[in-house]
Amino acid sequence: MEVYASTYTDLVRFVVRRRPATDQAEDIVAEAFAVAWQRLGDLPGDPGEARAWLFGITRRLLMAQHRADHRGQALSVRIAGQVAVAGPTLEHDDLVATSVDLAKAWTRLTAMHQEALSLSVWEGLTGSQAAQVLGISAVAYRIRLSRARRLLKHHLAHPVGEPSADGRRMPASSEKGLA
Amino acid sequence: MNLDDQLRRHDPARDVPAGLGRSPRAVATLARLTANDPGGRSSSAMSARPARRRLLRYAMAAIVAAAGVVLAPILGTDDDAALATWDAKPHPVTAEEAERYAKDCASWTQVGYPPQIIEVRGTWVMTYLASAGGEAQCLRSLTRSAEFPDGEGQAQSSPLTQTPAADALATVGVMETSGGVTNTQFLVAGKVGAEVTAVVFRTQGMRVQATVKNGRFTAWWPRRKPASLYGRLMDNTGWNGSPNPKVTITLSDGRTITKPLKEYDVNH
Repeated sequence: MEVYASTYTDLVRFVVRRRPATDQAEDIVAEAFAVAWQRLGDLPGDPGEARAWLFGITRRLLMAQHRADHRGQALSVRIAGQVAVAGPTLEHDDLVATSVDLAKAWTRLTAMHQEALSLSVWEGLTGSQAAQVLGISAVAYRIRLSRARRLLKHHLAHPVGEPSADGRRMPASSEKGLA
Repeated sequence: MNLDDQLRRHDPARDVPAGLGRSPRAVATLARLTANDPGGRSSSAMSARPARRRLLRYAMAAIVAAAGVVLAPILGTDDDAALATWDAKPHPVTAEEAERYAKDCASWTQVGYPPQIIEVRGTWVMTYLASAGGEAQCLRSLTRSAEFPDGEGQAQSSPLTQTPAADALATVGVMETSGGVTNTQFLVAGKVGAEVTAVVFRTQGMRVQATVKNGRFTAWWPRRKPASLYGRLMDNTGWNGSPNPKVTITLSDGRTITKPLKEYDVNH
């Protein structure tokens, strides 16, 4: 019961991050558990791997419900709006940004890069576990995550409409195909 | 505060309470699920949303089981009833069917290799293409639906294996397909030595007869839950996590040789 309870909450959070209709999150999680129960023989023995396996089931369920072709597709991940912190909140690598900046920069990421960051930062998965959720290799995930971080920092440093360091403007769509 | 720290503060799920998993609704969900046997099909949760569940089952992802091999999913349907028709003994197809399956497989794998073996097990077809440039396998279900008219399938392509000794096999190993929500299948193919007339795999309590033709062999089987942990360990004895079934080859003089398949793995 303890494992179920903690995983249940994790899965609801997983869905809430990807779907605006949060009131339906528990319906989706119940369905994911139903699938897992049907596939209990495939449940990994390691708790961390099992959690990732459940995330994978839930992700595919979300994609199927939206009639997305899961091959090469990604689920966009939401980000909470401004958090209650005054002034610059991010100081890293000479980068100073506010909460609003970060939320805006996040929306300029592709769904693929949002997912990569979310699985690491919000879902708290290891590289290999996140790769399992996405159905890609651990190496591919590490590359994708690294690029996602770089792009987010780039967007923070160069808000929409502001030229990048080399004088070019970088539209949000330019990230496609990077990972 | 670094970037990850700041992102954590923007978690859109931060308001989901930690104790949600102990809510009456969550507990009721658990009770509903566990009221049925695992893998059973009479769950109320299942019957409540049959359409949604079927759609989910199509979301098959692939796992690459050997380096240098590309395994990719093909759109399609899946159902346990189709897998239940799986036959340990393969059956041939008609010339007309063979032409169609070979054409589809070549299209999915984007190779122009000619067909070497096409075999049927129940409602599933295995197509094995190969040429001097490489080889490819497609496993497809003949069960179709309005949403996915091509049927469920998996395809893989890989470099050509070397020619084995006359009394041996050459393979790149067993490919495992799994999306976590659909049935896992194991595919194997490769070359047979000049004296090999038959190939039989023993795995998970099954005796799987491969098709041997044109100097090549291929077979596939569904995963079955081992009766014990020992059974699972014996099926996955340290070979990149892939099954390592025993394989018995029969030679033209009637002799048989039984070895773990990994001994014929060209990458091992």
